[in-house]
Amino acid sequence: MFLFKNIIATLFISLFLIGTANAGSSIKIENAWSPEAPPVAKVMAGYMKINNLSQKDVKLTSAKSPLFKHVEIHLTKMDKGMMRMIKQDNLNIKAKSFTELKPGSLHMMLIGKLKPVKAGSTIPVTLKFDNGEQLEIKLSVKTDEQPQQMNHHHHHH
Amino acid sequence: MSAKNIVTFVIIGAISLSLGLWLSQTMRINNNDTQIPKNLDATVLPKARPLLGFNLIDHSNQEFTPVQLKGHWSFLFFGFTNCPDVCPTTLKAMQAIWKTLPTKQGEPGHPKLFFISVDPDRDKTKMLKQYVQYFNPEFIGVTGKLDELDKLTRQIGILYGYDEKDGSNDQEYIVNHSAQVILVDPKGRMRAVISPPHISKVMAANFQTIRIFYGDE
Repeated sequence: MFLFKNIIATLFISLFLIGTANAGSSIKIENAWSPEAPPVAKVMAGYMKINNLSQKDVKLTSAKSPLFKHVEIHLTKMDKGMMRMIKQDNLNIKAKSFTELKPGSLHMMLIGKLKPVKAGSTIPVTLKFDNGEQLEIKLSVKTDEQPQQMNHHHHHH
Repeated sequence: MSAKNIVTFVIIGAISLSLGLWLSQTMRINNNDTQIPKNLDATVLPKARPLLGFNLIDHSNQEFTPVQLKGHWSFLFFGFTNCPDVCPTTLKAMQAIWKTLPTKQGEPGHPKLFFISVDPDRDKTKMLKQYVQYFNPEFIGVTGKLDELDKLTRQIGILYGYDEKDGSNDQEYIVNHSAQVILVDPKGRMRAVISPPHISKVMAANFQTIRIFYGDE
């Protein structure tokens, strides 16, 4: 009986440890940034690389920020001669893979700026995923002139 | 067809080809206007297209008509200020181009940039001015009535449209628009179309090639 209790306890502790080890660790955000926008602009963009370290596909289901009225995920896409912004209900990140948000492509649209946001500061954003994970991230506000340089930077990593 | 005929054909063909090449070279020297510089990442129109008959307003509430496109090279970019991705990315590329220009404001060959808002309901001139001047104090914001905007966009082939404008929130809708940058010559004629992605180094080099090829007159 004593042994049985011990086994149960060990089992619980192990499960708990596995649980905590996984929490917040299956998704890793890299290079989260936002280009500084003119002070009069009411919208801004957020870019980042979302890595899914787990064995299962994960969906980003929502994002919010205290500095904006709301946050949406959009895809900039050339369609019938126009650049269209197509709202994404969620964003899939494949198992053991990543999804990149970058200029001229997938991006986070930060809508309805509530406070001034300047280069050198950060924009806090809460990301929610369909596996129950919730991440608090910060977008670094930068004055980068050319996003191409950002990509260029990447090759050296 | 006999062997003799084939030889005649080849000879005539060779003569025509040389004549054509010689003519094109001569014309190139005499009249650059109908020629196209090589090795460009831009679509140069074989025949420059005059832009006519539009009456818009710039960010200082001054007239913006075909007259304002004369006497200097102009870049035209169409967008809106509630645009998070394409417009700031393009304006930042233009900002980078301006830093590499060999000329200063007022000097021959120095271009102007007109950011033309196709969202006049939200983009009022005062805020448009603050928006474009953030990128460069030389940049000029332009907007106007929709029918006047259409007069310009239709000549160029720029398209735009609204999504969710009839929705519950009349301040939050999306404007879809063509993202080409249009290069206009000092005679106010559309000369080249530059398609995204807009890479400042390439654009800056292309602009100087086109500018030198056609001249600043």
